[in-house]
Amino acid sequence: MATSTNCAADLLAPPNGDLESTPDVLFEKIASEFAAPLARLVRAHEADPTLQQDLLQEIHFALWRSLRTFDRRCSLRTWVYRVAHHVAATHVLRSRRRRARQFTTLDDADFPTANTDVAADVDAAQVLQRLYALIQCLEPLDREIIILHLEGLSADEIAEIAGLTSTNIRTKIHRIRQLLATRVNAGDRA
Amino acid sequence: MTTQEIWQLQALDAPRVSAAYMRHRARDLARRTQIRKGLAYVIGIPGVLYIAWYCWRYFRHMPMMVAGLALTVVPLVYVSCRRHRRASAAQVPEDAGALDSLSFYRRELERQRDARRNWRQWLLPVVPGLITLLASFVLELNPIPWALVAYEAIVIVGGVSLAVAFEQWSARRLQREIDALDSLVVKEPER
Repeated sequence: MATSTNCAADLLAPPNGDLESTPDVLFEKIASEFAAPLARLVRAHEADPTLQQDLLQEIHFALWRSLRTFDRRCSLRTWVYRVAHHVAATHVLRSRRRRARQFTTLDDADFPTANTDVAADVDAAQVLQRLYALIQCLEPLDREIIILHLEGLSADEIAEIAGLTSTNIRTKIHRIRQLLATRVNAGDRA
Repeated sequence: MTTQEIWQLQALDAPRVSAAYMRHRARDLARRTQIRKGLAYVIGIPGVLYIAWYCWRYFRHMPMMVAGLALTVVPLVYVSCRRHRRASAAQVPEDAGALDSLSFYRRELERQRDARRNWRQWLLPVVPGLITLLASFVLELNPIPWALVAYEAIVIVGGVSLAVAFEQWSARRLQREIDALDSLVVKEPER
């Protein structure tokens, strides 16, 4: 499994000096290490490419502002994902009002089953297309959990970011795995 | 290849945003806020002066109608600004990273629900103006335009009832979402 989020492991260590904890220095590190995860998160929340750019900038701006209050009580990765998901959830709520769109939960997600005949050599682009379609019909909290799971975070890490219990997150991840295996169908096992 | 691997290895445009650009954006935002405030004054002051002139000019002939208009327009503008500020999605707070997603999302839903439940706060201030306006049609106009009186009465009763019903329906929908979020919070068993 690729570990793009693990690149931020050095950020989880306590600061070595004043320079390390400067908000601008932290922001530059975040912008560098989390560029790809944040871009994926934005694409998962917003289908329109123009609005994706706006949302990405909004997230970076919120992160830049928030670093002044970052007190290291949680890891920087947790902080980054929380802020990013708050901005994305606000964006989803706003767009739902504008488009009068209804979302569903993981338990109620009714998504077309993938064609199992082509499961072995299924195109990655098709998998991603199905994945984005699945994510974009979910409620913000369920979106967050599935995105963090796909980013490779553990149930405990997701629980800390989302504010749910680890047991609850494990149940949801089980449901996500089922959905990925039956509806998205790459090489997953339920 | 698993879905997680496909997800993490996908090719996408991931621009790197610099702190210098964020400072530029913050300055730009502050400048635009100043311009917006300035425009509000530039448009608002002549508007207030025009309404004041209109009231002064017609107050002698139709004082009740002028009072009714003023009592309708002024609270309407005030509550519209206030409501827009409260009901629109808030800017993500600076300490957002300290708040978990469930709490943040719940707070957002509560804020929107409360804005819808507080329909009395925007409805009651405009009612005296509308009633005064209605009374002025009967007392100050000759002959009395009964069609206009009936039309306004229907608008007041029907419009208000529909608006209240919609706000209550919307608040109930948001409350259901809050209840659904609350049902996710289950206490961890003691270890």
